[in-house]
Amino acid sequence: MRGVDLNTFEFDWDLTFAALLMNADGTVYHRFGGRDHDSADGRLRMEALTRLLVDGLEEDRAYRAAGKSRTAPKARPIEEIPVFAARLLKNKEVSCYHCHMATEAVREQSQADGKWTPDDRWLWPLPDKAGLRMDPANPAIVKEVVAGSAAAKAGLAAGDRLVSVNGTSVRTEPDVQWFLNRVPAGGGVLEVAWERGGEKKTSTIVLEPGWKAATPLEYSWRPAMWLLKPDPGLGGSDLGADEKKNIGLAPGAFAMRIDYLIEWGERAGTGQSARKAGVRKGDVLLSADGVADFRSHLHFQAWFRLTREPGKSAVLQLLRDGKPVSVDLPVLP
Amino acid sequence: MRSRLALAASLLAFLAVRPAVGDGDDFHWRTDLAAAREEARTSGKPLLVVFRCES
Repeated sequence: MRGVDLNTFEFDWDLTFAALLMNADGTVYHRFGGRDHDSADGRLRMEALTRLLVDGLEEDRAYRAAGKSRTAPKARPIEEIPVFAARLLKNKEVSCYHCHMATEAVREQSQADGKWTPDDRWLWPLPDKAGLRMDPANPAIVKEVVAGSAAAKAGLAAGDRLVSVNGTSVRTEPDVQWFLNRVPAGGGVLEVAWERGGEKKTSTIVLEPGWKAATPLEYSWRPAMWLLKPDPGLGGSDLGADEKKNIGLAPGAFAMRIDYLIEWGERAGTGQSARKAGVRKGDVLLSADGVADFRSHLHFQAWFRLTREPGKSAVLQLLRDGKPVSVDLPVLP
Repeated sequence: MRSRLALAASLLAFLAVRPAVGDGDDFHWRTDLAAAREEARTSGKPLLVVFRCES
């Protein structure tokens, strides 16, 4: 992301793949990419990208024919975000600016400016949050509308071809996400247009307060999750099926080996606190506060950050040398 | 923690441009975004900019 203008190249920077079809003046026609907690590429289809490129060329010709042009906003490269620039001065070995660092830098700057709220954790909601499930092979087509959802109340139905949101052409999920990302967690509206059987329709999707919140599982894939607080001060890896079998656990049971306590850097206090509470490297975490249905260690990490309250403690059930151990882990701010 | 994560994720960003497809045109990927935008500006072609991460 070195030198990349974040105001122009605006996409979900937590992604491992993102593509923007655009004009040289910085106008983004469409975005392609996007993922969920199940898979990094489960929503991506080559035929969808091919279709987007063909249709996008037509849009580019129309844009040029209409004599349109974009007045570029002030560029905002990551290096010019003050908190990131300050870190660069302290940490000269940063050689590659990863995409997710942009998410983190924007968030940290917002926190430093006193503008950040917990609702700002919710990033680039999928259309699913409005009750829309798009066809991966042709993501302008609605595959399913969840009964009772905001999209259903707006009148959308399976088979509809989404045309625009707030007057702008949309052809992909991240196109829709770009608009959803701008709707506050406290609620808002999107003006949508679609086609059904050759007939054009318009309506308003009303997003109710709380619509934007992600579950810990939905959030668990995001690299930017790691710098959210509170954090447990420990990390590790999921046990394999054979390892679980050897200690009498079912293949689908949650079991996370604690590979490290965070006893270095700015958050050293969290790992030191975990050690003081009784956690040891090599312990196997089985549950936390009675929750054992974590899908993975990432799911546990997201759950801790999104649901635990600083000042309280979390009860960890561990296995150490095959014997159960219970630890009251203080939740640090 | 940041450096640990960066190493774990091993993220790399690539930028590329694809000219408009026509008979006989080849794919031409660029890794200099500014140069690619200038080329697209002068050639009157759209850009496909790809950010990709490797882990």
